[in-house]
Amino acid sequence: MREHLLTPSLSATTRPVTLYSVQSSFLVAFFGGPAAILLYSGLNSWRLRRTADIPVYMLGTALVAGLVYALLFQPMIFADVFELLGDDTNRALRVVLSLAICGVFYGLHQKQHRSAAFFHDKPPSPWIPAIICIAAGIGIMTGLYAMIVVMAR
Amino acid sequence: MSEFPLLSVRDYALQIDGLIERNRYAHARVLIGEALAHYPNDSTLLFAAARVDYDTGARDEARHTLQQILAHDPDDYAARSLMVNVLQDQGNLPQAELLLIELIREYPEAGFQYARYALLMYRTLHIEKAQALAREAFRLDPNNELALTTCLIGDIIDGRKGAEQAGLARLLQGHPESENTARMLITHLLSRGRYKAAKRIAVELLKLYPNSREVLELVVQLDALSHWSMLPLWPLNRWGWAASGALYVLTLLGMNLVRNQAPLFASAATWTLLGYCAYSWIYPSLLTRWLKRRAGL
Repeated sequence: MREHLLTPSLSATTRPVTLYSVQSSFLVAFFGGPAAILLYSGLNSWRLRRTADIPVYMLGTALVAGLVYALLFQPMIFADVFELLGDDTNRALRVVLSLAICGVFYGLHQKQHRSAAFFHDKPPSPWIPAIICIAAGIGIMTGLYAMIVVMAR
Repeated sequence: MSEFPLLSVRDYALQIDGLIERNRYAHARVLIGEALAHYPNDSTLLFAAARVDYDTGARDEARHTLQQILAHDPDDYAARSLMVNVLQDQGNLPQAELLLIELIREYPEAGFQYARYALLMYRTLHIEKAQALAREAFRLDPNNELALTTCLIGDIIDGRKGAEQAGLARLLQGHPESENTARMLITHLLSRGRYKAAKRIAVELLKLYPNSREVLELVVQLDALSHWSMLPLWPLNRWGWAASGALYVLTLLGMNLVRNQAPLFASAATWTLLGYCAYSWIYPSLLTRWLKRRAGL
């Protein structure tokens, strides 16, 4: 057991891992939509080298595609929600799905986030990656809508 | 100063240690200078000089002195142990890790060093390894404060509330006067949303360390959180972004309900909500800035 513990985990060539903050993830999810938060969370998974997150990304992508498909071709599924929220339904469903994805990835990286908060580690600046992810996320969602419409014809 | 020393190395070291313990660094520096003039290569005195430099933030000088000690005696335990701190503070974490492993291999029963290694692993987000190291530190030295602290940090990170409380109780029982215990207690109270109680402990900590800027910042932060004007934001402070998400959903439902059932109030409800959002975004930072300025930070 000790030998395993006494194997160095840090190397001079790789910098210690720091994660993008929960706050920036929340804002990317809120303003960028589900595709943006999938991309943005991918940055944290990449930093942590967590291959175990890959199935969650696949599930998230499938959910996003499923939501777009359902909104376009099976709107009756959301009849009750539409009655409650009216014209806000589409946007609300997108935001709720984005926040749910954000919550799932927070759960997956929770220990690392808590540790960073405990030691007051300064997270990397989120501005550039967040803006890129939001722009790419909006682009992907627009493309996805168009693609599903074309495929359905 | 006479050419022949009046005091032995041991006497100088005792006096210097006493001064360091009372944070009288300027006086300690003078005495170290005098002692080193008589015993220039003595490792005890050089180590005391490195300690004073380290404690007063002169990391480069401390490192230089420690290298001087290690050049004469590469196995000096105290010098290597302090060198770990210096390397960590300078951001040379891989080198600090190698030195810690070296110390643990040479002193395999030193739970304290395992606990230090655990802290380094927590800092670099190697959580599972850190927790295993903390458990090993606790097994080797169950009464060691740092070992107890690293186990408690593991429980906090895991979110195991029962284990966290038990760990905190052990720490409070074994080391009730320690600064470390106070900090862990503050963290625990903060996570439970008990800001006033946390602030009271932080104020006591400030009385013990009146020159510590870090503790003063902590008091200011807790002062802001426990301020009466922050009461409307308590759910957001307590449950963080989960509360913000819940607020969004509740707002959606609430606003549609108001629009359908009482359209006359829709405009007022929208403005109230916008006001609350703006308040939650702008006010906490303004209050903290004002409290910081008032505290002279």
